[in-house]
Amino acid sequence: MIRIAIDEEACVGCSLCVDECPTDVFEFDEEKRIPRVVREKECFGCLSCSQICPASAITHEDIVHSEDHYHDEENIRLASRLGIDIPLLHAPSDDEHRKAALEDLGIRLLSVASVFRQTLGGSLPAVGTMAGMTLATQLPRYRVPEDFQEALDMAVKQFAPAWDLKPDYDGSSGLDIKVGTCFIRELCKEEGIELGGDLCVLFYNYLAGYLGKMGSARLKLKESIPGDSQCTYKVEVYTK
Amino acid sequence: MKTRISTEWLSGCSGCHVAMVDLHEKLLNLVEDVEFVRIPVLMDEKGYPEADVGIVEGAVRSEHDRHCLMKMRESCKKLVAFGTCAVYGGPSGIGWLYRKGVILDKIYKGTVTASRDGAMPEGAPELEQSVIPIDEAVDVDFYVPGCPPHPYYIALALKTLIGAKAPELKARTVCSACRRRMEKREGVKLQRGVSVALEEDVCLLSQGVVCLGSVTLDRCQAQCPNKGVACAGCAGPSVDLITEPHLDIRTMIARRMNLLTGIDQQEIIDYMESEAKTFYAYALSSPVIYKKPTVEMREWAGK
Amino acid sequence: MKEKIYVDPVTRIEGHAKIVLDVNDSGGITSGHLQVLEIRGFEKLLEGMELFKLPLITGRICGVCPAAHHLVSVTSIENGLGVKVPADAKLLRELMYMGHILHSHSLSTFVLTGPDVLVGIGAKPQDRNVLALLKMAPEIVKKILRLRSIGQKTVEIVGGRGVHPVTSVPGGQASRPESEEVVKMGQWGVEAAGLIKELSDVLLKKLENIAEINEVAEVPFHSMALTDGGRVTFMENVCRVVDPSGKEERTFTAVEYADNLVEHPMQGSYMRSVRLKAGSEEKKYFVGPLARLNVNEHFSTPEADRLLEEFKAGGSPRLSAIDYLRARLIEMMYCAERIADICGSELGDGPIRVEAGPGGGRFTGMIEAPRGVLIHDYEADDNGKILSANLIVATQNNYDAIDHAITALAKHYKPTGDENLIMNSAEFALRCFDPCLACATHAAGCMPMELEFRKDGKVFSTVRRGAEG
Repeated sequence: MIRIAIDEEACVGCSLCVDECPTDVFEFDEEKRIPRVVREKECFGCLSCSQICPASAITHEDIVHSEDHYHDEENIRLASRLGIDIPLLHAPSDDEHRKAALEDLGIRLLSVASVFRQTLGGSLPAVGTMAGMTLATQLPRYRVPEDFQEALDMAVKQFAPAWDLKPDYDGSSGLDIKVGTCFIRELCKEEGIELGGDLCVLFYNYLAGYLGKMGSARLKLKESIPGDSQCTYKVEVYTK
Repeated sequence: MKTRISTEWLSGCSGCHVAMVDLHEKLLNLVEDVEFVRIPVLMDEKGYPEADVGIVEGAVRSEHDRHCLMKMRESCKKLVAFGTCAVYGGPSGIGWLYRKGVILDKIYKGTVTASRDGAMPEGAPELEQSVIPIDEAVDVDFYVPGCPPHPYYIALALKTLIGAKAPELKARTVCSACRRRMEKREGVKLQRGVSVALEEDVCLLSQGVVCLGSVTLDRCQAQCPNKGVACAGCAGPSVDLITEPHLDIRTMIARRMNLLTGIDQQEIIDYMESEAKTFYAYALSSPVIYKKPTVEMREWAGK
Repeated sequence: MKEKIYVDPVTRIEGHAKIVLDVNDSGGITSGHLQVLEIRGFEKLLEGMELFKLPLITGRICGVCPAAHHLVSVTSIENGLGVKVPADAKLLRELMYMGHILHSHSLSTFVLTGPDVLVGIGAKPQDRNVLALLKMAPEIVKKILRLRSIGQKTVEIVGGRGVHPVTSVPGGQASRPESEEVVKMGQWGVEAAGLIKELSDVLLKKLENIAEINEVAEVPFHSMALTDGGRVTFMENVCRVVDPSGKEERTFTAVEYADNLVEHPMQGSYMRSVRLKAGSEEKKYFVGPLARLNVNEHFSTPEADRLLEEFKAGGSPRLSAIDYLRARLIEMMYCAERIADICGSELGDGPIRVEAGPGGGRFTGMIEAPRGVLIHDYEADDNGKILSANLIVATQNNYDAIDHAITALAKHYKPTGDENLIMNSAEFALRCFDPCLACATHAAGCMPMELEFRKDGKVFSTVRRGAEG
């Protein structure tokens, strides 16, 4: 059962929690000017009370979050380093995430790629490029990159940690992208697929489409060298 | 063994260092427990000696800042982001709204006292494209927000860091330390653009004044609202706002104020968006804020 | 001299900096130049903010002198709106400000510059700081810290917070201290006066040891400060400029500042120097404690007036950078006396706030920050939204004077060939002005100072003090 704790020292006696609770868990003690938890078992963990509380005085224990409840894990990590005393929600580790993602996404990606190949044949690169360009326009962007170099820097951040990109850009047309850790490569190893196949083509074009849109440029692949722990793409960049 | 402490300041105001000196008498006791190996405001140590705890004030604005920060990370076992600028970018972080060229142009060409030739400084260290809090550049082990953190919390944080005590900092908001009475009222108007005397003991939200106390972490003991000035949110967002992506400063204030006074939520939100630069001044350049549905901040702030 | 030597960073000042010295063929120093390495750009950052919230945000320009920015911001807004502040609110502001100057001056005089004088300019770096001083002379350091605490606690009581005070609002003060607190601050004022006397004696005696460089560090520029008809004032008033012989050159008010001052970018530095416009020419000047004493005739408290008379007896105007230290001691005495007076008898229980706002237009204010004349200038639309802002900060005014003093002292010590001494003398010259680079570029940061020797514009030697020597 969910247990609700009220930090009486912090409480400011506004009674907003009493108003907000959809299941009337609280009653207001007019004399002491603090809310009392009177129907604890009615609580279903919507957290309305703790969100409206101006003093952050209400905490819940033994709460089960539905999977849809969205928390920002990076920020939870930040909060846990504020030296505070409340238990924070469980944040899955990077490893747990990676495993789950491999299982889940891997199956979908593989089937998508094979459907594309069967139905579209040689158009696979175009599909990748289009997907990348779409991503670039739809992803919320916090700043517009000033030049291609900045677009590259942003992409490196954007794609981590699933892809560890190390671009080497000379500022004109030559661009080498080394890919260290790669989600696709891990997937291929797991499933026994040869490197440089459909998934890699899809991924490269996806990246190129994305980079091109973000950095106002057109990218053309000159050479791709797959490797066991690192792949390299040699690209020509035409900036507008 | 004494805990070795090293400090550094980046793009900030040095107020956090002054706040450390504001431990007053307690500072002398502290000096007995720790050894300061580098504290640029007091000592002539120019290098980056090895230390147990590194305390960094200020955001990263120039390449030079980044260099100093890296050196601190390398030389310190634990790194502390000290003060709102280091944790969230702080007022320095307002520069996040602009490209660097815009800022430099304004300063060297766009003011009434700028020399007529419009010359720019040459040879000074390059500014980075944008302003970032320090955890965007290096790993940070501990955060102490506050502008500056109240000496009471500095003492607590330092005790925690030198291992003398388990953490006992709280996740409470500024409201929890405010002595004003939050009460429901009718017929209150939203106050904007005026400066009038306020009732002594009643919550500012209840009086129609936008006060950020309820969305701000208490690292100040609510000094401002207790002294009759609305909270400006200088210690950065409360834990709720940090962990829950859908909660935002303007929406939470609007909801609470609406419940207390009946002022239309949209009126409050519109006001806060039009003054976004004021109300979001302290954590603008942090992903904690800009990843929320506040991506239009640049438009609100009128670029 | 070694090939490469660094002073990186310059310490015991407030901000990032580096010093460059130009050297001629025969190895003599021809000119010295301070370079400031940071900028935040507050002029731009303030645009679009709410006028009435500015006093809260401008304080964040500087953590050492936030009260100055806080007050000038409020003053500007009140000037623009034509609001008249009640007398008691003015006294409260002055009380807070006196506490602030006490804090800032004692920090500068005893904690930052003090070790150079008390331990010696040529002493080993590890001995030349307040923490080492704590081991050598704990009683003196405790008194120093107590004196600063008195100032800062006064700010905290009246201003609501120690660093970044908040209680001055357009129209007056948001709150007043309790009566017991006023009594306590009054006692602090008396205590501070005693501490200053004791500490001054120690410092002045040590200053005699470096009397020989007093003349070397002279800066033959104009002095600029605010004046209340010949009385030293820290609050808004007419600005007066006197030439090196003490003759009045001009006076101007806050709104006329842009007709009188012009800012120039400097090589390698984000800080701009400010000069006086004089037809097609420009004149150099300095501001701060020494300028205030040069421009004015008297204070309004007995002990400070006595000290000022003594000071002026040694010649007036005084132009040496080292006289800044003496001037600061006298001003601190004035602050302590004012705190005692305001809390003792002057502060009444009248109103402390009138209604202000809304409005647009031009908002200009000018006060004396601890380091000298500070000007804020905003333009706002009718809704009180800032359209543009301009800030001229004390340390900028002193840029030319700082360069001059650095050059003079480095030249003086160059023949000794003692690197430690040359470097720290340049740093010492800089510290005398109590430069606040956080303010000056509306930026701040760690304070790397490098001493670079240049010939024909090329760096041939850089000096760094520290482990590698």
